[in-house]
Amino acid sequence: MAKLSIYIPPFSPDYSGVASTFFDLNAIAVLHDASGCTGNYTGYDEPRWYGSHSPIYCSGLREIDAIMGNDQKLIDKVIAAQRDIKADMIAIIGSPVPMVVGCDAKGIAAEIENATGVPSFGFDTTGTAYYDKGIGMASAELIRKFTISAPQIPGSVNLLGANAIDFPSGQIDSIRALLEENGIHVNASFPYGITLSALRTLSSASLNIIMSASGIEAARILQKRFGTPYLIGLPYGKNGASSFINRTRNALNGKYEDIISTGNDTARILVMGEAVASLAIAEALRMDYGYSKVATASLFSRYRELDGKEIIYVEDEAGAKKLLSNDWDIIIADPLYKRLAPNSKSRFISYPSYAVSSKLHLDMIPDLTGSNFNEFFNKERSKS
Amino acid sequence: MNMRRFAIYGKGGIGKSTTTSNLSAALADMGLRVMQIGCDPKADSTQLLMHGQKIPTVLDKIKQKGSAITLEDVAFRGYGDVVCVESGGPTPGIGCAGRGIITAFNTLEELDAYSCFSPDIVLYDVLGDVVCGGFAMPIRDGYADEVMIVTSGEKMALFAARNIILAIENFAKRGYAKLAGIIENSRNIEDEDSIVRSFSNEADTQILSVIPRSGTVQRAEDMNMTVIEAFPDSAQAKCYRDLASIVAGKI
Repeated sequence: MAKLSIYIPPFSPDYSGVASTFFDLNAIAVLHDASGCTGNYTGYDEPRWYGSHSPIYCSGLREIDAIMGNDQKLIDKVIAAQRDIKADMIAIIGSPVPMVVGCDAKGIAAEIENATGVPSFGFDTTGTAYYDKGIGMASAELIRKFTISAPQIPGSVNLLGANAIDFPSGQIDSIRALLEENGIHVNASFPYGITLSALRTLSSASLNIIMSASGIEAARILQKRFGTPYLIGLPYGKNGASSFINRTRNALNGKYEDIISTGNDTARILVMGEAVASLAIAEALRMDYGYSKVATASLFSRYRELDGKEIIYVEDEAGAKKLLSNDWDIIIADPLYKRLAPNSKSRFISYPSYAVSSKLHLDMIPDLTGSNFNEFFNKERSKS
Repeated sequence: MNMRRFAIYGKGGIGKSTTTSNLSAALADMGLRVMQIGCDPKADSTQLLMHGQKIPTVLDKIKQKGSAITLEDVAFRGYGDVVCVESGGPTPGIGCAGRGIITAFNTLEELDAYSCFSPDIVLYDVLGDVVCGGFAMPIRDGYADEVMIVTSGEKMALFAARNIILAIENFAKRGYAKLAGIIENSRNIEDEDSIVRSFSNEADTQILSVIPRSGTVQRAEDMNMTVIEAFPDSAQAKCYRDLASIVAGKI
């Protein structure tokens, strides 16, 4: 019961991360489940779902199919669907029940690929890891299968970890525009807005920018296969964005400066959310407001690339409650966390995370690109 | 040298662990780096290599330490420096043993076990029949390259062997492990060699080795040792060494 959650809902899981990664590709994405997980993905985890044409299929797993290991039923359905849809690729995405009974998603995908000739992927997602892991594993598999060695475009970048769950309302386009305005060509954003041809030529970028922790796995594999270096960060705050642009320019010239961690000791401000976004907000507070010590906390998975940045990993609701009960001047976090510190005297700035509160606060999720951050922070800070 | 992985299946009680441990010991004596992974909730696959010491299982350690588990918690050096690992399983009567094997295997991957020990040969000693998805894990993609089936000439042992062959054939469409052949672990039943030979012919495979029934095995087990260690010059040890030569020839 150590992980009991009373006030905070389950975060977007790994299977939603995988499905979201295939959203912009002409793919048959099949969630192998009894329909509940598909409902989670379409209803709560994929902000683009309503009004879109990207299909997700539910295998309609039933008790007897799980018991008997009736993989053939799913394989036949997918092959039939492919005859009509003629997708570029197929993804079989695991969910808790098939994973508990040891379903072999990769094996099913191999059979489908043999039968259809269409590149197919199997993901052993369990629903117990977070969306960032799902995006990471799907991104890595897509790169392994499709990305070729392409001529490098000097001065160009990829935006990795650019996903609709962390950036549900236009932020990726703003960041892309900001980089282009500053003469930095964006080769591709991945997975948001990715096309098959852009996926093939991800290796053309001279630098990968990791916009969220979900992009780390893709950065790892692109570095390993094509030697592409990476930079972690987001252009938040007027000065923070200038610093980010400078760091990007320097990295394109072979001089890498890591995002600065402001340190937790004696910090008076807590930023809690996605790891890279928390670091970027801390950087903006330092660059634009002179707050030299801002504690950053991540709600999601750990990555060795973020080691040494003094990120506090919030493991569960009890851990969050303890952290929030500290004597902070300002807490910047998803509004649902406010309920964990009802007596707190800290100023609470609502910074919703779609992976936490989904549609509940979608209209409040800010685009913090450049001086937008300053407008957001000034407005929130002035609220009585 | 490339790592080669073998899964050893067969009916419960047919002598898989004894055969596997003797095979590991003989391979180690040939100077090969060997890793033996027991895939049975009883967790007794490696006991002879460990001189009777029961080693902690991967699942027990996950239960105790969660994500703080390390390779040193679950991998131990036995006879001939064979790396011994037991996947373990749930309390009898509850839980899910098949899922346990999957979790144990995933944990070994996360701990980078194969890179750390860089064995030449990995032997998965797998409980009984292929009873569900979890017990098929050792023959899935990325694990065993080949399967060896231990059987006697007894009906139930052959029935189990047939089921294992069906599972391997079923997985052929997925490009998984191939059947290397049969190890006949004799029970001294009437006409045993001929029964196993005709089974092998029907299954279109080969008999890799015929291990005779011998009291030497029992005597070695009483000493908590493999025959290779306890009676290295015995005729029984030679049988295991001959099998080891065949297996080593596949690297």
